[in-house]
Amino acid sequence: MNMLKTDIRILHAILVLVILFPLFRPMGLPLTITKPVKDAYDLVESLPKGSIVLHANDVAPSNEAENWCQLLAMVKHNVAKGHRIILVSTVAEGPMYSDRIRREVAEPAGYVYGKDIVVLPYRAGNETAVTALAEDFQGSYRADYYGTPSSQLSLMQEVKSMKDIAMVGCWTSGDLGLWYIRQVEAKYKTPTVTGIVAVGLTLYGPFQASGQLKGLLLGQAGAAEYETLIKSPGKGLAAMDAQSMGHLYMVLLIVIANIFYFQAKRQSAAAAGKGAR
Amino acid sequence: MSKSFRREFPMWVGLVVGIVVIIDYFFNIPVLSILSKEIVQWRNIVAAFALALGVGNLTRIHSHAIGQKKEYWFFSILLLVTMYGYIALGLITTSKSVPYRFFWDNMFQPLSGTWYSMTVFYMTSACWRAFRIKTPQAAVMMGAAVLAMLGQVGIGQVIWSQLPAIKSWLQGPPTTAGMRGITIGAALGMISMSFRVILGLERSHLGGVGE
Amino acid sequence: MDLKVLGTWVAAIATLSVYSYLYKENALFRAVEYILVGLTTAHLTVMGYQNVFDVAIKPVMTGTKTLMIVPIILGLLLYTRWSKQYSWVSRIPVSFMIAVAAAVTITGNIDASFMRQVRATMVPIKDFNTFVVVAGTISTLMYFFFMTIPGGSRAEGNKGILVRILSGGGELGRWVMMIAFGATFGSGVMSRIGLFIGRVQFLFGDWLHMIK
Repeated sequence: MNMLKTDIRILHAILVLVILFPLFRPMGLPLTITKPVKDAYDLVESLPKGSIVLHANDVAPSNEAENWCQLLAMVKHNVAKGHRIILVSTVAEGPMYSDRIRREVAEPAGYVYGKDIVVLPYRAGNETAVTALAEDFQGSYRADYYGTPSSQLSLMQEVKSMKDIAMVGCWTSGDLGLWYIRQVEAKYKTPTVTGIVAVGLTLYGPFQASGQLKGLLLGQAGAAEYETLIKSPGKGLAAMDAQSMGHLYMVLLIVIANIFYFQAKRQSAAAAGKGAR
Repeated sequence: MSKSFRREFPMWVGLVVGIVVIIDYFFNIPVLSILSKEIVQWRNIVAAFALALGVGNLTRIHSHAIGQKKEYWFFSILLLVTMYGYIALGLITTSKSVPYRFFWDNMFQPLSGTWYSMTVFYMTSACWRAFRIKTPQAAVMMGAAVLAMLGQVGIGQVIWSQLPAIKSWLQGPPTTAGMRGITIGAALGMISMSFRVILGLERSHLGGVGE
Repeated sequence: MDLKVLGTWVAAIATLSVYSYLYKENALFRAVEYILVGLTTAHLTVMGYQNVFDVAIKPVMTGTKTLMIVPIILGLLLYTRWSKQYSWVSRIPVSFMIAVAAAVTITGNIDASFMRQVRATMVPIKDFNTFVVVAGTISTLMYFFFMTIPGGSRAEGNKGILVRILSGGGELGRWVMMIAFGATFGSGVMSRIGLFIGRVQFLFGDWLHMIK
């Protein structure tokens, strides 16, 4: 029982070391490509050049480590395939990351703003914002994030309804993907993929199994798998060895703590038995 | 205005707009369709106004703390200065400006990201101190958790080559089954609760603000 | 000093200030805590204002859509909650917002979350996996729907055949959910570790340049 009262800061320090070691010395552990990620990749591969892709970017600092890697990987794939990209957000932090997509990925690849990529501003309202966007896309966005009227952006003029969108990508730690499934995929049958933090399996698993989602990226592993498929290693893949060691550490903590627990339980039961006699 | 009017009028507003949006879903009536689209747009604008409510609440709470010289009152000054300073910067120079982005990229984003990352340490504490296998169901849950944890990372494949396949299966049919049941049940619950809200049978969201 | 280098140092100090809590609570941690709250609220306000200006204020000012005065008034009515005399008025926009959100929830859930999920479960059972999905979904629903049974459950001594079936199905649903929650917990661990790895990559990569 005394081991279970160890100063927790020691365990925290061990965790830090366990995570740091593989970042300094990559171990090259294997990575399995899962079907939901491969399905997402195949969907993007199947879209012809010039297809308009809508990315619902709800990346925020709280989910950046997972969703940003996922979004980055998919946008790189879109750019490689010559897809045109529109970025929207229902969180206040989203446009800040969309702006980075424009600066760091699209424009260096020769994308022309307004023709090949548009960054749209934040819209409050959660699911009703998605409803408004689906019912009246051009009415919802009269100007882009930078204040340019939509009438001056040729890409915006081509999107009259969700039927003009070839694919929707939702990048979130919450219900964003569900809103798009309910308000866009259900009504307009637009193929939808979602990148969710790993714990979002519970929310999105049933929709991926029923075919309402055409692909699902789960956490950093999903990002790493996608980076592997597009042959563009990034932070997701770099993190996987550290993820492995962190997971192993957590499993060992659970197992060892329970061994001590059962041992202590047996000892106290034996002591109680002796006392009774 | 009478107390009953103050309670009933907001409820009637909710009833009318809710019914319009629902009828538009089921029937194709052009006038209702236009009205419904407008109502949804208006809702988003009102929601945007709600974002600034936090400013008022924080100002009230922390001004009180400063006035009463409560514990950490000097940090309250820091909070108010930061908040109003950043608002002023954003409104004057916009969120696209270099100074605004500097504070966002180098203070807000790292602080927020680091804050959420602290949960890994709470998880470590939980793994050591809290997760005890006390019942057969807990054993099944922990077993599934351990298999999923190891199966989703490379070290699992090194320990046992079948672990990724087991993890894929665990996160497939059984998880889908369990969560689909919950999803269907939750959907029914949300639909019934939403009807109750629109019809005014559920009024907890209207309570506690004046009489 | 280069702005990027300055920014990286500011970010690193902010990150380490938060992590200092792991050793002991201290004034630096508290300071950054209050700064974060201030920045978060400010950013929401700035983005909210830009949203309102683009969609409502500008169309009213330019005359392109004067009807937008309605949501502007509704939005301003929200702030009456701070007035002792007129705080009841803020119930109107609150009721408006909640009712519209509820209506959108109904229209969205009926097809996508309910009917299509039920349809996906009503499939011919051709293999073991399909059997697990169908039986698991039905038993999970049985657990919730038949939690209370008129006349008492099996645990309460009711030995009727129907009660046995319902209780048994519910019990199976519990086991299915335990597997689902366990698998989800395993995924949750990845989320938490991933957040921490992100910060470590910043500190040792972008700041100290010790890792690629």
